[in-house]
Formats: sequence, C-alpha cells, structure tokens
Amino acid sequence: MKGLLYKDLLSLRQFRAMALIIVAGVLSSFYSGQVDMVATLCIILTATIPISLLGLEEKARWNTVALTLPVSRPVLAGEKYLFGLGTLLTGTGLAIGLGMAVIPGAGYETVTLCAALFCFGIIIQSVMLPLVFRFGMEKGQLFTMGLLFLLAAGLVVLVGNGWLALSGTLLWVLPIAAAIVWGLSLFLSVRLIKGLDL
Amino acid sequence: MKSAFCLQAVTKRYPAREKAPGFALGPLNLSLPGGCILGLIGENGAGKTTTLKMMLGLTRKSGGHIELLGRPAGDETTRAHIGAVLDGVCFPGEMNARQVGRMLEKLYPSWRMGAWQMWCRRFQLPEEKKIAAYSKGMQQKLMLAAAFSHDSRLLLLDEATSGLDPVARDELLDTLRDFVSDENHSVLLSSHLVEDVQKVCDYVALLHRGQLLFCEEKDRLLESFALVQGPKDVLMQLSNRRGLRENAFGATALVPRTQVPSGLIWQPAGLEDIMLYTLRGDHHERTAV
Repeated sequence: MKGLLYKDLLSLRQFRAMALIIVAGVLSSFYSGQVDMVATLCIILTATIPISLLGLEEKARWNTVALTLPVSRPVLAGEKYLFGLGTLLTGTGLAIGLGMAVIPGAGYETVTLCAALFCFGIIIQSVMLPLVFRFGMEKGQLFTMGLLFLLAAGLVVLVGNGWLALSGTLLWVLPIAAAIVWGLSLFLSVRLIKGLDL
Repeated sequence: MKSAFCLQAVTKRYPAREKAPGFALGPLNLSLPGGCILGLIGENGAGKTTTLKMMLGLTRKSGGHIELLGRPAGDETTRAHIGAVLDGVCFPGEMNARQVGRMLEKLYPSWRMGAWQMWCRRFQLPEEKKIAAYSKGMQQKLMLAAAFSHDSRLLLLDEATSGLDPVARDELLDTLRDFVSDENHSVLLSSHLVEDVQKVCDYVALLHRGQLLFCEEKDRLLESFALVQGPKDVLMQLSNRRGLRENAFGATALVPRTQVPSGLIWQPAGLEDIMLYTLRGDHHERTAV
C-alpha cells in the first residue's frame, strides 16, 4: 500500500494545471472578498484527482504491472479510496484556511460550507471510482455525468419543495449519506476489481 | 527435484463476439523442474501471453489448476518471489528509475536496493530520466532490472528479449543462464525469437492456436529431427514427415532422424525448422524474382 501511495503522490505533479487554476481562484477571492466559488472549485477539483489518475493509469496499463507485484486486488482498489480521501481532505483544508483568511469573521459558515462540499466530493468519488474500475475512463465518465445529474436534480426537487432544509437536515444527512455511499462504493470496487481480466 | 510451476488441465475460453471470433486455450499440462529454463514458442495469437497472464493471476482461467513455487497462482505472497516482464507494459511514464526503486522497496519485502542500482548501471539506465522518455528496449531493461532486484525464484518473461539490441539480448541470455545455476531459480521465456530460445532453454513448448503441440527437452528434440533433401515425390512418400517445403531447387522435409531413408542428404534440424515445418506442414516456398 505504501508503495502505491508513494507512486500516486509522485503522480500529483501531473496536475500542475489544476494547481494553477486553484492559485488563480485564491488570488481572485482575495480581490473580491468571496470564497464560496473558490472553495467549491478547490474541493471539487481535488475530489476528481484520483479519477483522473485512474484514467492515466488505464492508458499506461498500470493495473497489469501492479498486479505482477506483491499487491492484492483489494489493496489496489482500496489505495485509490485512501488517496482520494487524502486529496479531498487537503482540498478541504485549503478551502477552510482560505475562507478564514479572506473573511475572518465567518468561520462557522466557511467550515459548514466546506464540510458540505467535502461530503459532496466523497459522493462524487464514490460514484465515479467503481464506474471507472468497471467500464474504463471514457464510459465511466459518461455514466457518472448521468448519475450526478440525477443526484443534483433530486436535490433541487427536495430543497425546492421544502422537503429538505439546506442548513438543518441536509447538514446531518449529507455526512451520513457520504459515509454510507463511500463504504458501499469501496465494497463494490473491490468486487469489481477482483473479477477483472487484464 | 521440486517443480517451479505446474499447470494441470488449464483452459481459457473467450466466447465469440460480434467482431471477434472465439478462442479456446488448452487444456494445458505443463511443468518445469527447478533450475531450468522453458521456452514457450508459437505464432501470434497462439496463447502464450494468455498462459503467462493466467499464471500471474492477471487473467482468470476457465478451468484447471496452476501452482507456482508450490502455491496456488495469483496470490501476492507468491508474487513476491516472481519476476515478471510483460510485453509492452512498464512502470508509470512520469516516474524515473530512482523513484521506481523507492516504490518497489516499499512493495517487496525482499527488495535489494544495491542490486537495483547495479542493474540500472549495468543496463545503462539513467536514474533521473523519465521512463516515458526511455526507448522500448530501455523500458524492457528496467522491468528486467526490477525482476532481478528482489528474491525472484521464478521469472516469467513475455517477449522480454524482443526490444533489445543484439548485445543486450546476448547479455540477458547469459544472465538467465547464471540465474538458473541455482536450482531454486527457474525461467519461463515466451518469445517469437526462436534463436534465443534455442540458445538458452532447457525445455521447449510449442503452442499452436491454443493447443500445446509438444513440450520436450530441447536437446532431445533437436536430436530427434532431421531435414532431408531430395526429390519431392520421394519425400512425399515419407509418412512420418512433419512437413515439406518445396522450392525451385527441390524439396526439404522434416522427418524423425531414426526414419531418414538411406541415400538421401540430411542435416540436423534447428528449433526454428522444427517449429516452421510443424506449423506449416507441406508448403511451397515462394522465390523472389
């Protein structure tokens, strides 16, 4: 596992363009005094890093190499979840830090927003990872877009009709839902990767 | 002597799809004693890579049993003692050799960093250059360096010599010979380059359209066959011939040495001859105009 994490950390250099976008967002937030947009950008972008990495690995046929090493299939799948959690936590930490720096008085609001975005990032990863493991990057992304569209539409209907309050119920439901979806997704990915013919 | 690996009635079936015909491999029965090199030869699509992938657990077998180093194939504990080089795959392109060494150190319990550095130097692999910038031959060498830098007891090499220049190929074959001088070490070398297989292997197995045509000791195999030259009609009467090649100057047939008719000119058959005559049967050789 440590070796795989080391490899993925080195792979982060491939996301320099993403870092530049975040830096530009950070600078603009200091200028405008708004953090919502850049916090969202920061968290969602870092949530998609493990998925983009899987796409690059798919092209390089990394799974074929990895499974000739003393690495089990469940570890290969699990590592991506752990790495994804790491990138997302980093993005969230950055967003909270930025929020505190730009609007020093709005600590609670910033943390609440970032926590909600963190949960949403977990859900994105949980939906995408098994789809990419199963269908590959190209098809997996299409399925994910469809699923996320349905998820967003569902949320709009629930919140719009007042069945779900954005500040109260959702803030409790979201972390629980994220944790359940993450666990189920990990379980599914392990099963999928176990049955994969390379 | 303990077997390095043992395949018993191993099969793999790929069902026919819209654009691709189905393929059935096996049943394969193969084993290799420790301290030996087995060459797996055959045409493209014969099933060589699929066989290696099943041994590594990358592809699921449809039936049968595979044992590597006395344990069922596919588990990571066994893979810690296997060195694998597969055709066309390498470590991530954005890494360099030094970083690959560090990664493998964290993955292999028996990783020897000194050996890794020595092999990288010996294969002239620049430590700081990105793997993506390596040539195909250099990437093959990098994979080989990794296979030699941990406690490998079995090497599974798929076309490992094909990307190498003649000098590097010869050096690798010497290294393989040294590797198996300890009877706990064995090699399965799958290759199109029959010349390499003839140079280095103790056993040879020929796969053809998913079927194992033979698996024999190389020296015995080479001693068993002869290339006989003579008039086509005489050679056509040899019922035990494996194949016949006709050209503008006459005909040549591959026959068991014990059955070479007296009075005909013959010469020892090489491994390539045995493979070609066996796979092509009776055929007419086209001559360049």
